[in-house]
Amino acid sequence: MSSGEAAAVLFRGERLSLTFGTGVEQVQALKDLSIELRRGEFTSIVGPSGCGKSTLLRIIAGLIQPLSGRLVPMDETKRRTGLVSLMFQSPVLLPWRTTLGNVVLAADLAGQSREPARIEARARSLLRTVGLSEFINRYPFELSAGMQQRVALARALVLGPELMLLDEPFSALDALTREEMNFELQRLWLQTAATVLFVTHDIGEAIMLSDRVLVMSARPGRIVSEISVPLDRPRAVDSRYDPRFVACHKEVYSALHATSFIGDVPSQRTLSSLLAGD
Amino acid sequence: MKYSFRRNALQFIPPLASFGALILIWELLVRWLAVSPVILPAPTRVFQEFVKRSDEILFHSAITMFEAFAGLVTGVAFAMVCSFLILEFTTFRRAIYPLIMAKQVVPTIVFAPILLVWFGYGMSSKVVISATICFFPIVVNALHGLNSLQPEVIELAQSLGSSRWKILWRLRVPHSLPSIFAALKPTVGLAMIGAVVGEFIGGNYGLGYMIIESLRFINLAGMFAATVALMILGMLFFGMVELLGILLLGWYRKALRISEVV
Repeated sequence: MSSGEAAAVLFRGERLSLTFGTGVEQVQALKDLSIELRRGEFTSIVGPSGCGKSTLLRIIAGLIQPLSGRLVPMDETKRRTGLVSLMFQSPVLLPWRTTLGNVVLAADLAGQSREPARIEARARSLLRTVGLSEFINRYPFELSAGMQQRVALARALVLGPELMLLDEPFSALDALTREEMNFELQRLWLQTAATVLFVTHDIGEAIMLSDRVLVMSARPGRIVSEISVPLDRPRAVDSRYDPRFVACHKEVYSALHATSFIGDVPSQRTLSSLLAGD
Repeated sequence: MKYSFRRNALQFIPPLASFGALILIWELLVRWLAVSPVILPAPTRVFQEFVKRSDEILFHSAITMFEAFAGLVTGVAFAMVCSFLILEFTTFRRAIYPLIMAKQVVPTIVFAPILLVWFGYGMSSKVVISATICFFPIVVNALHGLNSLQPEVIELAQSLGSSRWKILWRLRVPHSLPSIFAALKPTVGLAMIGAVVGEFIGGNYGLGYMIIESLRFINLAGMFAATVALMILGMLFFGMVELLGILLLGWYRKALRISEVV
């Protein structure tokens, strides 16, 4: 389930570069970024806002083309069969469809309406798994934000994806719901063989969920550090206090802050020495 | 059950009372001030005229209703096709937008005499005039609705390999229905205007014709009777659109009601 030396590579991007805009307003979103996603592995990308995390995710999803670089992408046929699934910060549910309708939507959009009964059965069982069996015929506006995101999670899983691309899926939720959703995601993922790429800016969330955390820097966006998380699965609330978790947290934190101007280490030292009365 | 029925029945009292009061005041004023029926006929007189010419009114109403309805349907159909093309083809948008604007800055009524010459004095010219008036508000609102779909929804569809056609039909069109229906209600009135204006200008049928015909004899009772018929038609027409909206947009109404409560 988790990564191994022999794990096969599912997706590989080499020296990907992308710029937005022209002239003085030109922004280098990604520069010479290389990334590899191994089959069955849970990888997170952590980085400051605007570092191009979401852009990278969209490139992998095939929604944007990089200007240069080499992709061994998920091809069109894989997309059509729903082998790549996306999840966003907002649940992106259609207000005119019920909970069940929104889960089945993935099959409709992927053009898999040949076996509606099988897909519906799977949707129902997934909704039961995420605790929404009583809300199957409700409309999105009747659900709480956490419930809506559960529907989105069920939709992302309904076609049995090979690759799940999750773009800060829980960052709009409150802290408690978010933690609950983290364990929910882990539980569901452990039942599948899916490869996951999880974008977040919450270090704790990234470590709790991932086999591997990639740290990205901003302008230009590139991967500056890669940290493996050696914690056993399934992880639980207690894992947070595991010394290995704390060590990983420190490592990701320093890698992240070495790349951004917010965590300016010298000035922090100046501040603490001032406070200490030096 | 009984209680809610009573409450529903009570809801009709204020509008009926205000309507009744208006007619009563009108009637009393005409009698007390002895207003000449040539200037302002009393409601009773209008009612007499309505009953006396009811066959004629029914015939003209049917004509006007058909023209307005056909005009609305045609106008909406053209507007929808046009907004799909504008949405999907940038070149088409660049080519057609100035034309639509040029048409829109001139009151459509200005084109009515020309359309009458082209399409004759029968019903078809009225249908065309009506459709022309209905076109613009529907295009504007349909485009707004079609374009305002959350970009993530489109990304989701694209990531699953949906075609543009599928994105249009399964996502954009249902999403735009509330905007289109919001525009459809005032457009019902525009459709009636188109039909009646066409009848004013030329023709031998319809409530607009009946008004012009009554004008020739300075028969204000006839004009009022035709106006009452137009009101009833308009209400029926409006009610039909409302009903269609309820059938198609149950989810939207439900969502609105919930958000009102919360």
